[in-house]
Amino acid sequence: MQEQTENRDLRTEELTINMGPQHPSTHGVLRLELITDGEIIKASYPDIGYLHRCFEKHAEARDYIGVVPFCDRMDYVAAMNMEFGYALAVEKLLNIEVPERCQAIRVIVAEMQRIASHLLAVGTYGLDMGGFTPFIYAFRDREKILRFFEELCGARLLYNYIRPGGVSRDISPGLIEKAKDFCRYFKPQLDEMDDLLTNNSIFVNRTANVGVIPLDSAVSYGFSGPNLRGSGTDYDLRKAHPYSGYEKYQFTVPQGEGLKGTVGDCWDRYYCRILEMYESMKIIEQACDQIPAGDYTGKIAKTPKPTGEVYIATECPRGALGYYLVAQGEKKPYRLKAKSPCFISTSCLDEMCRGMMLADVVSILGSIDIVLGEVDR
Amino acid sequence: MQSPDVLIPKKTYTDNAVPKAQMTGTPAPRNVEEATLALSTKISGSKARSVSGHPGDPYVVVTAESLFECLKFLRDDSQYLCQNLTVIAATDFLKKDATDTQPASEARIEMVYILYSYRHRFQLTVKVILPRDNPTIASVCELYRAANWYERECFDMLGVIFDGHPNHKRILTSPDWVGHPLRRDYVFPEEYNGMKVPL
Amino acid sequence: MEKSPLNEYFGNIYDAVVSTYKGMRVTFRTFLKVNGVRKILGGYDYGAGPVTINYPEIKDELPAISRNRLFMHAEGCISCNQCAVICPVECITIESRKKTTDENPEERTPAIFGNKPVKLKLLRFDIDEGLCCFCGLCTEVCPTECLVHTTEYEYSKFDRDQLVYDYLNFSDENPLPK
Repeated sequence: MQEQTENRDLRTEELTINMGPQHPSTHGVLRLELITDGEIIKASYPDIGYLHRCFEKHAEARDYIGVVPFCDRMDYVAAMNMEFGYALAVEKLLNIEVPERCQAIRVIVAEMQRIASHLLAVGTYGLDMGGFTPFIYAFRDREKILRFFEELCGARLLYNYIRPGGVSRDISPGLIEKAKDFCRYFKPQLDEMDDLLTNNSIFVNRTANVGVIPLDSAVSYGFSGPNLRGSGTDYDLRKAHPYSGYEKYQFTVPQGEGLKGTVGDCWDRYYCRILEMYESMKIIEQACDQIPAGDYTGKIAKTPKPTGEVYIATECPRGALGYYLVAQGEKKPYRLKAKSPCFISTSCLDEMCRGMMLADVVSILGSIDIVLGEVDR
Repeated sequence: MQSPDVLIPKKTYTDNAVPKAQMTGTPAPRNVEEATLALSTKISGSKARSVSGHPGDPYVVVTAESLFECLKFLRDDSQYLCQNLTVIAATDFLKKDATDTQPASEARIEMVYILYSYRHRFQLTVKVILPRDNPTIASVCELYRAANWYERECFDMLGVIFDGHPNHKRILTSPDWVGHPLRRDYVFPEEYNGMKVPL
Repeated sequence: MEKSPLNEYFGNIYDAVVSTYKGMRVTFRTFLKVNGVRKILGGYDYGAGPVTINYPEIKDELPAISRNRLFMHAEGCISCNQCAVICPVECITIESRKKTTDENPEERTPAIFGNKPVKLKLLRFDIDEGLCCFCGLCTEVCPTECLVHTTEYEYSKFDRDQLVYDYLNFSDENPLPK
């Protein structure tokens, strides 16, 4: 065997890597085509549609109450918030005012769901960065929330609880105590999660200055929620256009300040989520203390028949989810379009990944916190 | 209707400058009538008219040719500053046949652009009415980066063609899918690539 | 403040050691907590002890309103069809007919099901549990409350057709919940 002695130049073509639909770090069935020059990403093309179930076509074939189980299944991790926006849209068209007890129940449930969803986001982000412990702790605490929901409405993940007109069951005083107990239990656990991840030098080195999105681009892309707030603004739908009694509760809105790197990097978005969990606990405690007695549902027909068209957005853990509902006085919606925040976050992956290394793609995907059920609907 | 799968070289976003985001300041919300008046006077050819009175949100209807100019005005004018394109939705209005119980209305495709202003904290809905046969409209990707994927989705689901879109392909269904699912006269295929659809 | 490279080098080492120590301390404290050596602050029982349940030897008690597999008590059904109409995925199939003259016209459901008059004869009541989305809408509209959710969740089968439960005729081959 002759030794090859000629001096061959190293080939420097661009390599196309497929980060396929089955991948442990893409949080679902997302396919990314990455064009790389060595280790640096030159371009990335997300390919979605692997979980597309055409929720919008299903919504045209069911009556207004029957659409709610389908709404749950869009972002299955934060199902209560999905139903919330739809219920508000139908109620606006029918001009129904829900009682105050119902509003308080909806707020408690939505904030508990926000904590559960952020726990999953933070836990899987830690797992992607290499640490197994935050994942286990996050899921242990999330299990408490899911058991609370099971005692409240009967299901752990897909609830069918917030309906147009109200909620499906009342909350008992024992469960209100349980919600407050959870907040008391969870605060030290959240401090521990903070200790584990936030200032850990490995985590900081992997997430600071990675995937920077300046505020101008974020606004043009249509970001919302923690992704937008990580870029340096405190815009929150719960403060700007309060719905369902949020104006009664005192809480602050965290924003990204670039403590560990540039404003708008992955660490800022992650830290916004941790701080939001603290704020959600404050809201739950205030809502549990202030919950009035009364009805848990308003007056609504068994098969409502609204007319008109409306767009309503609520603050979900992943952004501002909006429903554009066109109704024509029949018992089924004419057109229901769901504006999903994760759809927009995925479209921005191209710009965020340019110039980053291959391992940073995993970091960026974890920080924008997408759930493919909502991207594809 | 067979969809044209046009492969235009992908545009990079470093070409377009984004406007500076203005988020803070005392908000001065505008309503739909003021917007209609401003659009009809400042943009000739827009024929803007407002529709209100139904439950829900009122909206402004403009012509398809003037859409780009109207959205540019709404984005850049200091009284409006609608820098956020929240969603582009499209609705297909068609009475399928005598058994369809929806109220009769003209067969058309309505494109809905929902804009939001962070500076002035108000939401504005702009609509464009297109014919069902060959729905074509200018793309607003240069104004808002959010429009890119929304327009792809409208093309995929309803068959609306956007002039000037940098990547005019299907997004949610597979690239060889035939038909546009959210049209009212869509027939679900029995077979796909030789495989029988289950159930 | 510009750090000299030497300062930065030792600063990095210090940061790394301190943050790793903090993380390991959390893990060590949880180990002590889980093994009962140290009670949680406040003495609250929520979370002290190992949280892993050794399924399938030990199974957790589900709350009574938990929405798992459906069960229909055939003697309580009045064939009103409300459950089939409201089901979002159309998994319930009901067939019924008017009663013939030699069938009891004054039949009523048992008292626990509201003692309602039974005017139609139920021929077929199938639920395809593979399609069911466990939303609970059918149990809410049932007027006699004969259609209920049980807490049964371990009913996997090898074939999708075996998940169609016939609630009128169940036998040893198709046993229904205990």
